[in-house]
Amino acid sequence: MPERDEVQIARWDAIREQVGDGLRQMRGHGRSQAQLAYEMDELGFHVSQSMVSRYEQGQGEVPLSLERMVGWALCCDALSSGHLRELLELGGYSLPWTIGDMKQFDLLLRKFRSLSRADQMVLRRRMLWHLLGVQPRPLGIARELAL
Amino acid sequence: MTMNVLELDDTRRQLRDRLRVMPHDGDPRAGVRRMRALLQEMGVQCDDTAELEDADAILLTSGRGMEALIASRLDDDQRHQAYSRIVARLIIGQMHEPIDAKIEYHSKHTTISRQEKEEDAAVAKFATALAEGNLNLAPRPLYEDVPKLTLAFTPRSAARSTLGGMHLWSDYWYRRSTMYRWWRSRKDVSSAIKRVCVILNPRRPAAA
Repeated sequence: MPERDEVQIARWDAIREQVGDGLRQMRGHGRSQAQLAYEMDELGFHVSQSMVSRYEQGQGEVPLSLERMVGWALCCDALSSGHLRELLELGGYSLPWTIGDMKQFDLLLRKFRSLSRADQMVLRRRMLWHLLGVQPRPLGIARELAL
Repeated sequence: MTMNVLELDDTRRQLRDRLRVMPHDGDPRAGVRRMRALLQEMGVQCDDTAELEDADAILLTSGRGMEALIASRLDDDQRHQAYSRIVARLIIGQMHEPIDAKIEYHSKHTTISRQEKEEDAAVAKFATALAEGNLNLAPRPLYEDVPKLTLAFTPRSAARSTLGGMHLWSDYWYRRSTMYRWWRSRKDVSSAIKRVCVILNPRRPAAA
């Protein structure tokens, strides 16, 4: 595990239960932890089912990154939910999109639910880059960076 | 953050300008290179290596830029067609703010609304004209500036205005009617329209 500052550890300790609550509520009842872990893994996040469980219980040791929060919400179609906004605020992150914009992202995700799994993943990976406010770049480079 | 609509309009205008002078030699590989270069010049990030299973291509636009993702499984002909569809989509399609995506398929596919179905059909027909280098088989407003329907006070401006009205009518029905698209893509019809254009706007037949 990379060396972390005491202040960072203390701050994460103070907020991780709240973060866990938010993550659990974003996932809702209709999606299992295993399904979420699988979808996040396909998006390029190295998140296992046990990590999903630990984060939701507020036991994650490493602070949740902006990329993981957004990826979590993307997989749960919860980009426009209040839970993501609260989580971002807690983590001290911000995204260059309004609530209305995020609703449009969610609408688009729902609209393309009928696509095949592979096609959905291609679309979602690219949407993630747009969501994070990064200029599009060739997929090869994005894969090398492996988020 | 909102998508820059003016930027998209500008892209459309520049695409139309480039399409008129784009050479066509029947080689799909060269066609792909030209279409890709054209899109990249317009600021569209192109990627030919997308691992798409069913779709041939995806056009994704947002305030962060435009991307064309082309399936890696396609052969040269199919890739040429997919690029043509992306170009046609940028010219014909309605992209919504702040983010929108259009999925391109080789064959007919289920669409949600009638509007999307009509747009898909118009894009497919225009893309075929683009890929074959037969722009004249599509309504002229799609690829060049045409006279406008305006108030006219002289015989010449009346003729030009009439022509503008005809172009408007043609563009409208091309986007909405399968029958009109079929009819408009016939060579004899295209030749007849060209003659009418020359009669009504003899000073500038190329852009009539």
